Amino acid sequence: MGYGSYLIRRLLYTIPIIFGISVLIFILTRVIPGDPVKLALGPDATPDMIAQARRIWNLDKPLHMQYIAFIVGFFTGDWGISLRTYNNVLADLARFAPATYELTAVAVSFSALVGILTGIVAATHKDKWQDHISRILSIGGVSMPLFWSGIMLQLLIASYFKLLPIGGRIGDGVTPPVHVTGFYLLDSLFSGNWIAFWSCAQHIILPAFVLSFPSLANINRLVRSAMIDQRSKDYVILQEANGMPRRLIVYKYMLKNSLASAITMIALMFAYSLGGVALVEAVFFWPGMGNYLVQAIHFKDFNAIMSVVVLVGIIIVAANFLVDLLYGYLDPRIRYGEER
Amino acid sequence: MNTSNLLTIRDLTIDFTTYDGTARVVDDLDLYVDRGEIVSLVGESGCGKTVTAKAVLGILPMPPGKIAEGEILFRGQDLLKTKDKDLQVLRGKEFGFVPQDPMTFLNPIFTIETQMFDMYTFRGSPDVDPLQYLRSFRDSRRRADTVQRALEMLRRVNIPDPDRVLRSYPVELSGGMRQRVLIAMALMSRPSFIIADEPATALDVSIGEQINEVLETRVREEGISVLYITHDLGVARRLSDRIYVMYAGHIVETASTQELFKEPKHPYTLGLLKSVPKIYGEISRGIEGVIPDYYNPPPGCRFHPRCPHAMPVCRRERPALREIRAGHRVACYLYSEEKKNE
Amino acid sequence: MVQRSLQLRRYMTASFFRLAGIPIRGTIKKSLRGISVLEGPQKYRLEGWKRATSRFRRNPLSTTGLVIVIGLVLMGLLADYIAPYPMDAKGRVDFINKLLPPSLEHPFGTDEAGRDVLSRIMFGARIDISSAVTVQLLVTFVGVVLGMVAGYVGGKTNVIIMRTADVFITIPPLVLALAATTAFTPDITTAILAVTIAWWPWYARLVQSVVLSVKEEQFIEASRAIGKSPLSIVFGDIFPNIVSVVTVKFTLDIGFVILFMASLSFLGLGVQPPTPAWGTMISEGKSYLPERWWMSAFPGIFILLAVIGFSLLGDGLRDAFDVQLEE
Repeated sequence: MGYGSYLIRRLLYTIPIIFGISVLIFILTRVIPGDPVKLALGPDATPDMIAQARRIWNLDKPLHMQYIAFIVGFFTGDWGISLRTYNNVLADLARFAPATYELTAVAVSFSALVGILTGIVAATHKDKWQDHISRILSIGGVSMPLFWSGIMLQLLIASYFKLLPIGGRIGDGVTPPVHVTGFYLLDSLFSGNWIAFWSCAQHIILPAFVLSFPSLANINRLVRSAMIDQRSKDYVILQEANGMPRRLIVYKYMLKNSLASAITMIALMFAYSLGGVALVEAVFFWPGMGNYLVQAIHFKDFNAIMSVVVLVGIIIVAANFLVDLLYGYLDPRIRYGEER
Repeated sequence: MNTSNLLTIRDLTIDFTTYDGTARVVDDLDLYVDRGEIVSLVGESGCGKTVTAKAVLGILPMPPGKIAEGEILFRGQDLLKTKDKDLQVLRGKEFGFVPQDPMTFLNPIFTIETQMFDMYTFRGSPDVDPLQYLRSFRDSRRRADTVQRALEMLRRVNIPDPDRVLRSYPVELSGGMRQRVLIAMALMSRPSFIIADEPATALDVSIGEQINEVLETRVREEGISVLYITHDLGVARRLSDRIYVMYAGHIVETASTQELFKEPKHPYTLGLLKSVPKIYGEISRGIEGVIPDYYNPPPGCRFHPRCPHAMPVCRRERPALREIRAGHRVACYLYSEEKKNE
Repeated sequence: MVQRSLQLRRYMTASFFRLAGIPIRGTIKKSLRGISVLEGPQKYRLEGWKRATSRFRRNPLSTTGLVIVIGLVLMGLLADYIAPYPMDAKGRVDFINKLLPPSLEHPFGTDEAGRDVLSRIMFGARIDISSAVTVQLLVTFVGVVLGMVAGYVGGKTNVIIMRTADVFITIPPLVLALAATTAFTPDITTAILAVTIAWWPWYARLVQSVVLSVKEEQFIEASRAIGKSPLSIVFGDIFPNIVSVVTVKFTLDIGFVILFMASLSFLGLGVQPPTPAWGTMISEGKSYLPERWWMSAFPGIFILLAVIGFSLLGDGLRDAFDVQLEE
């Protein structure tokens, strides 16, 4: 079988998925009763203006032509004009997307790290106080509405204790760093702009923490469960029976076996967080794609909506593919075609 | 029973508590293994032999399982009273375990080399801290020595291509190969005692025989004592010096191999022997009935519901193991004085 | 889409709370695997309600869940009678008493129109729970039908249905639901439809995998060998297993659907003000932060409570229904 062909198979699988996503979102947004153009142009629009607008937005052509135009435009960089901002959607997204990805990346990294560590602790101290605390926190993390926990933390930490800023991405008086990646944290590091870095760091802590909470809870529980599972695995029993020291078994053998499913979970949580980020952006005034999407929906700005969803879909598919890569590396059974 | 034996089990009683109640899966078991002996523990599936083996190794899952009574003495030291940390060191230095299913007993995501190396280098160490572990990679001479030793070991279990095997993942090897690797891993640190839990059962008959051969040759060579668990009397006959026959958690008969096959006494043993298909002779018959319910075992002798010679006393009280000839003990009223009083 | 390791597969069918430490006595797959040829369908029926209820009652967490759920449901049903200011949820406004902090007369304070927050939360229970149940009914119907068709018919149909589900699942559920609301005016019906669109694939997948694994079970082959008609196999053998699995997931998910819909309402694309749904109330209260915190704080607590309650209940049900054959 081999690693290479495994990867190629996974890659080929992603294409119909993305295609499917584009079709799905197209259907969802174009099946619109009522006239989005009229909505966008407002009550003062004359019939001429409406007709002209329709032509610009390709709304006068039959559905399948519109879809083809959409696909072609996607590859040529013409993602349509936003009904709301009148900009090219691509330009809009170039502004807003990095903010969202930065936030999500920080949140998921945090949840992965802390989740795995706390999961190991909970598993090795099963049924002791560490386990119980971790369990309570995890239950809370998953059951709490993201927007609510965001508001509560905002109230407590930002308003009451004034430890961190209430919202936004960077301090009011601070100029954003020179644009390299669009990730403020990285950009400010690249340009040595410590003031900007510090301000951005302060601003990202609270929203990233809130966003990370459900993922953290899930990863913690999964790692705990995986590690506990490992304990009853035969190969662990063999090593115990032959007298291998406990710590070596736990941190080398049990952990690596658990890592595979942990990584899959992390990818899942990344996808899930890209949904929840819309809520966090709303609460913390974070200028990202989530906000953009919500505004777009209120305006029935279908170009924007479609582009955002397709973009999100692509990122998720790419992330999943990376996970497939890692997974194949971690678990040789996959490479040899023996999937359990 | 000689207390200078390598391994002595006395009055071992093991309970399992589940949702449906408490089952006494091993009851009042006595067993010993002397230096250099191969002893077989024979019985059908579910009779408690594996549980006994796991108890000796200290790998019995203790929440559902519980050792209600008894002692397990290794070189005079009661393993049941030893602390976990010390047990681990002892196991590393003295014990070896050859498991039943080569498929599941090797970690699938690490190479054979890694597993053998770690097993050899770290078993019996009280605990490893990260620095120690990393340092083991730097000592290249020690590494090379260990690899050589591993290769040697693999060769001695009749693996023709040890280099390739060492570099492989378990998934690339056949069942027979994996089992040989497991034997090599167990033997690599020169244990004084090996517990083999039906090593040939999961394999094809011919491969299984080869495995048994290899195992036997190696342990005889080094004078390693073995407790060999099996359900196959034929295998026990070929390999072992002494045999314990187990039924439903009890030892029902024990003798030297020669003696047992010459003069089998217990009805269960007789039934087992009759069940073995022979090329010439009558059609083999199994033993009527099923193994008892461990949650509500029948009173008296646990075999009496299936025994063609059951007597009233058998239903009342469990027969004790009685020596009827030198080294030959049976737990059956057919061979005891009480029978005369009925 | 990314569903490889057995561990993760088990996680998908298990709920989060189960992993939280309530003893796992075998997931559905495991217990199905344990059914032997003759014991299968009979074993299931022999389980009976008595055993299930006793097992349920033995677990303190599931009884807690049941209590919470019953409490919330009763609160919603009896809101007219137990709410201190029932008219506040039905359109009454009282600007003199607006924005009052929590006190004896108004334990949760009043909002910007002078309405008692506690009463509105009580009526909100009605809306949140009933809309969540509606979503679940729709989703279960769609999911079960598609899942059974995919599982039983197999082949190309299976592939098409499952790939479609994959496409839906790849998009984050909130994003998908948000996008689904574009076509219509935001209100509660739209929200219900949108959540259904985002939620159904999980059910279809679950049902399909149950059908597939039951199909593989030996007793189905034995039944077929005996000559049972396919229809009786479907209803006699496959269906009972699906029922228990789906019922468990149905209950478990109600809490999360409440959470989901509240998220939509918070963003303004679900239940619209002045209807007193929990998510809407939090959104309305947001503009009055940080001084008037009570309007956003209390409804959130109830959402939290609902999720915990339904999850515990669902887990308890799973334990109780478990067609178990323990080792």
